Amino acid sequence: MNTFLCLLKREYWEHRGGFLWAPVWTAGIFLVLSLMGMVVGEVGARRAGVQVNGVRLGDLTSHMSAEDLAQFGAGVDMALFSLSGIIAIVLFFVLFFYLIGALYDDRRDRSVLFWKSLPVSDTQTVLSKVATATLVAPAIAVIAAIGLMLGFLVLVSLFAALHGVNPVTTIWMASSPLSVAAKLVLLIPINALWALPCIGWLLLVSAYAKRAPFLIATLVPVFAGVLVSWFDLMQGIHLPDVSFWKNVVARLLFSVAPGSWMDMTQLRTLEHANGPQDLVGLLSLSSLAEVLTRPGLWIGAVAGAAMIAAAIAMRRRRDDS
Amino acid sequence: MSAVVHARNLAKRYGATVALDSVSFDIQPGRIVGLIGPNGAGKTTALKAILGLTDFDGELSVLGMNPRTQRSELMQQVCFIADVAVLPRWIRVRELIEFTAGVHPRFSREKCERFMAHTKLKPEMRVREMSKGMIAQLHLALVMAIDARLLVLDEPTLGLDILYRKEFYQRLLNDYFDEQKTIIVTTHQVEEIEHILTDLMFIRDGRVVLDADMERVGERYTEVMVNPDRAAAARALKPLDERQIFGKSIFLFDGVDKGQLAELGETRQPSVADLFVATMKGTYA
Repeated sequence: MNTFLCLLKREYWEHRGGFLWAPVWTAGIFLVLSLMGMVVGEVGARRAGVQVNGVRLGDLTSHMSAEDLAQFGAGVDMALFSLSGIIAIVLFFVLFFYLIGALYDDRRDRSVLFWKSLPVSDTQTVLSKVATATLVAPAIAVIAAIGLMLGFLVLVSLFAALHGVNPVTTIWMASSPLSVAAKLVLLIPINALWALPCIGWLLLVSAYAKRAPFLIATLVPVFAGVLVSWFDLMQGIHLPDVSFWKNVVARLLFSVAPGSWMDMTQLRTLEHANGPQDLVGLLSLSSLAEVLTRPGLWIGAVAGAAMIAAAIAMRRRRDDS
Repeated sequence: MSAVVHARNLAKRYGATVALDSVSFDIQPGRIVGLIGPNGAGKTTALKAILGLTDFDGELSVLGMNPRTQRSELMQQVCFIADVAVLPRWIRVRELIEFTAGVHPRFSREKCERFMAHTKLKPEMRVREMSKGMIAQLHLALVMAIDARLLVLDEPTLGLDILYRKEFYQRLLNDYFDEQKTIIVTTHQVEEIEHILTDLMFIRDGRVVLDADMERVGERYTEVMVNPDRAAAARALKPLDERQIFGKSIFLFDGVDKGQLAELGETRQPSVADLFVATMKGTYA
């Protein structure tokens, strides 16, 4: 077990820039930009003597009914989820390129000979990379996202207070940052299960490629998709090409993106949403539980595990260094 | 059975090229074996097979283990330095030591730090900031701090200046080697290691063409410097090699009586490099 912890540390040391600094800088820059935006708005408004529709914000909120307040709080929650989306996008790019290089970079620079000279099995090595991509990096990203959310709430509270709105009752009590944060943590294992086919595929290519792992990883699924669509166009053989693109190609390439299990049918409900509460409902505990009942999640997870096993075998056999 | 490495009919081909052609040899404990051969002779392939880094045909056991199926267990007892550039470039000295200490049960952090005290290495340094010589020092300090039974060195001093090269082998001999340990080393700088070797193995075109300890090599091979008038007599004894210096001929003999040769001219012990050149004649032709 100690060996495995060391392997995780090793991954973190090597990729500290992507796992730690990328989300931290993203959050920091976003907060600074928000602050700058608020200052500009504030200064501009003061100079022009503009008031929002001639009403003071404080008067507005003090007349909010309990229902309005709940709606408003749900809106804030939604905003918080969207903020974590920024970090999620960063995490997607970090993980994608991390996984593509995970079993390739050390073969290219021949340091694989050093790693293989230590009493560490290939299984442990590959699994440490899986654990890094599913747990370590997402956990750091969630911490950064929570920091971003809290920082943003503080900024908004300052802004509100400046305009005579009590931030404690309108923002902090109406919204539920703690439950949003808890859900982000809860999403880590769900995202991990969902991402397994992508992780398995990228690791397999990373272990297999003698050159250009990025091209192999992207072109093979896309070409397979084109082939299926082409057969479909010929009308002779009917293949379910749309579902192939969605369930295989997209899954292999993009499922490390946190929350990518939210599919079109779910997003379509947004069109009929009556308010922010419905949107937050997308991430309710029951809809998260629903994700776990999808056969697609488990089929993908099994396929991912198989590809990870293949990556381990490939790691053991590759001796082109 | 106590051989550290036991190989029978070891073979490996890459496509059409034969890297190892049914090679058999044993390496005994407490020896320093020089595995010498021209480029592409199969040295690295043999070492990779011993380290479990490549598939092969035939029978091979290292410390009684199968290197292919038991690589991670084997690596507790075997250390390996490939030509200098293989330490990961992003890692810091401190991280490297912490990692090795964490995964290697036979690594002594205290020993490693003692070896590093003689160098300019600092804990916060990254490998990419180091010169080749410093990387070799770091790798050597790391490996010498591991109490392993077999050390495999593949061109460990390639590209280092002579100060680093001398220091490398001196350290190895003085601070590391003892009768419990075995070292296999390949290098093209034969002159620099011939005095530390106990055994010599020449490999050519995937075959072992010489496998003997240094004493036997000394008994078998003789060099004679012969005046032109006696050259014909010397040639009659079927020398391995003949070359001309200052109007005299130098003949290299294998297994000819030294007394008999002394009558032809001045005899001496050939260097491993001369022996190598004579044995490998025509390799690239």
